[in-house]
Amino acid sequence: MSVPDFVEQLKEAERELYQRRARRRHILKWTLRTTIVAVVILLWQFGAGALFDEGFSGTPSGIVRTLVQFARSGSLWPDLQSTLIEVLAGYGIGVGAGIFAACLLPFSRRFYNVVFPFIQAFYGIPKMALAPILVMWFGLGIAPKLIVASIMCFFVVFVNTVMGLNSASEELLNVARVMGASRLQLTYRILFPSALPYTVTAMRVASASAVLGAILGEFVAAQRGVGVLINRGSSQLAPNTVFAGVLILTVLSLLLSGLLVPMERWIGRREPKQ
Amino acid sequence: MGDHQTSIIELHGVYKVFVSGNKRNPIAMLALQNAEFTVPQGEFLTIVGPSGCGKSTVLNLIAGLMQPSSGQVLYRGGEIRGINTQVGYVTQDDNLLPWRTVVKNVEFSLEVRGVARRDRERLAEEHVRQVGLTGFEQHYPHELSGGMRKRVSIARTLAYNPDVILMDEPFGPLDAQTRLVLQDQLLSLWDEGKQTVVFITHDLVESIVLANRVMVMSCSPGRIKNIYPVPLAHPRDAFHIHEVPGFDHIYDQIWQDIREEILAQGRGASCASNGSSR
Repeated sequence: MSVPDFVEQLKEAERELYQRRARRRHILKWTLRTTIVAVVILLWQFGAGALFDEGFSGTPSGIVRTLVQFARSGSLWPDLQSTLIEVLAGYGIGVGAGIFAACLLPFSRRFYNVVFPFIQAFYGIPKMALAPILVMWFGLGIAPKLIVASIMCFFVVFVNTVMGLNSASEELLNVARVMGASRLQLTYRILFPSALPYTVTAMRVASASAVLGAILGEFVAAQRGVGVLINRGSSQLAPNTVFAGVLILTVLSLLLSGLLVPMERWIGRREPKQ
Repeated sequence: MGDHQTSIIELHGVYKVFVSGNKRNPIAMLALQNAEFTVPQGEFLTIVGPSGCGKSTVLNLIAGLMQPSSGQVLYRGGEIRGINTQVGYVTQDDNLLPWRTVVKNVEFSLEVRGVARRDRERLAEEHVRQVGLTGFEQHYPHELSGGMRKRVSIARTLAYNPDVILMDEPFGPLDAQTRLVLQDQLLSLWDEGKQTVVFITHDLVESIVLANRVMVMSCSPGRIKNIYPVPLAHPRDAFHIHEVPGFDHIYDQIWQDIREEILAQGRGASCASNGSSR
C-alpha cells in the first residue's frame, strides 16, 4: 500500500473513532439526565406517605392530576394568561428599553457619567420593595407586575450591554480612527458588534428575571396569575397546586431562554472566546 | 536617502508631558524631550530603544492621536490637526474584529473610507493574496495563527494605500521563525510600494534589516540619542542579513549605544517610572 493511501485510511479510522466517541458521550449524557429525573420522580412518588408526609410533599402524579383538573375546569387559563402577558410584555419592554438606553451611551458619555450614581442606586434597590408601591399606584391588575418584570429585565440588559460597549479596546478604536472612521462608524461597526454577545447573554438571564418579577408582583397583590395559584395552594395546604404552579413557571422560563440558544450558537461560532 | 527628497514627516523641538494620578496630586512626566527629526518620503525608519522611552509617543503624535505639549509635528509641511487619516497604524496587538472574516476585516478600512462595494471586494481580495492568505478569506481571526492574523492586519492597512505606515512593534508577539518570514515579506512589500514606514522595535537585528535609518532613543526623559544610516543595499534578504558585509559594523555601532542605555537603566535611571514629579 502506498503512503498516501495508508494516510487516508488512518484519517478515516481516526474520524470514525472520533465520531463514535462523541456519540457515546452524547448517549451517556442523556441517559444520566433521564435517570436523574426518573430517580427524583420515583423517590418523590413512592417516598410520599412512606418516607415523608404526602400532605406536605405532594406527589408527581398528584401534580399532573391537579394540572389536568385545572385545565379541564378552565380555571387555569385566566391565571396562565395573566402571567404570560406580564412575563412576555415585561420582558419585551424591559429588554427593549435596556438595549435602547445602553445604545445611547456612546452618544452621551458625559451625560451617562453624570447620571451613573443614580442608576447604580436604583440598581441596588431590591425590586420586590417596589412592588407594594406599584400596586398602590396601578391597582391589582396586570400593570404593576409588568412594571416589576420590565424593571428587572431592564437592569440586567442595560448593565451588561454597557459593559459590552466598553469592552472594545481603546487601541482598536484608535486604529480605526486613524483609518478614517467617524464617531458614528465607530459606534455602529465596532461598539455595537462588541456589545452583542454581552447583550444576548443578558437577554437569557433576563428571561428568568421576567418570570421572577411577575411572580413577585403577583405575590404582593393580584386577582389572577400563576403566583396567585401558588399562593392559594399554599394557604389551602395543597402542595400539588403549589408544585403545579412552579412547574408552569419552570417551563415558561426554559422556553423563553431557549429562544436565544440559536443566537448564542451563531455568536459562539464567530467568537468562541466568549 | 539623498537630501533632494521631500520630507513627509517633521518633528521640530517636540516635547510631550503626560499627567497621571489623582486630581489632588497629579503627576507630570516628561515622555519626550526636544525631539527633532525628519522622515523623507519613501524612507523606512526604525526606532529602537528601551521600553518606556517615548517610542510609541512619537507614533501617536504622527498619527494625530496626541498633541505635542510644545514644538511642531508637521505632515507634508502642515501642522497635524486632529487625527491624521493619511497614515496607517499597525499595532503590536493585531486589533482585528473577531466577528468579521479575513476578507471582511481587510474591507473594514475601505468601508470606513467610503470605497464602493465592488472596488472594496477587489482591493481586499488583492491584498489578501499579496500577504499570502489566499484560501483563508472566509476564516475568522480565531481560526488563524498569530502570524496570519498579523498579515491580515497589515493587509487591512495596505489596502487603503496610506502614504505612511506606522508600526508599533508589530512582530513583537510572534515566534522567531514567523518574525523572519514576516520581516522578509515586509521588505518585499516595501520594495514594491515604497511607502514611508516608521517602525518601532526593540529587536536590534530587525531594526537594521528593515531600515534605511535607525533611530536610537534613550530614556528618562525620552529623547533621540542618535540616528544611523544603514548602508546595506536593497533588495535585502532577511534570512541572510548577517552575511552581508557592513552588517557587523553597523550592528556594533548601534549596540554600543543601546548598551549604554541599558547600563544607565541598571544604575537606577528607570524609564517607565516617574521622571519629574514636582
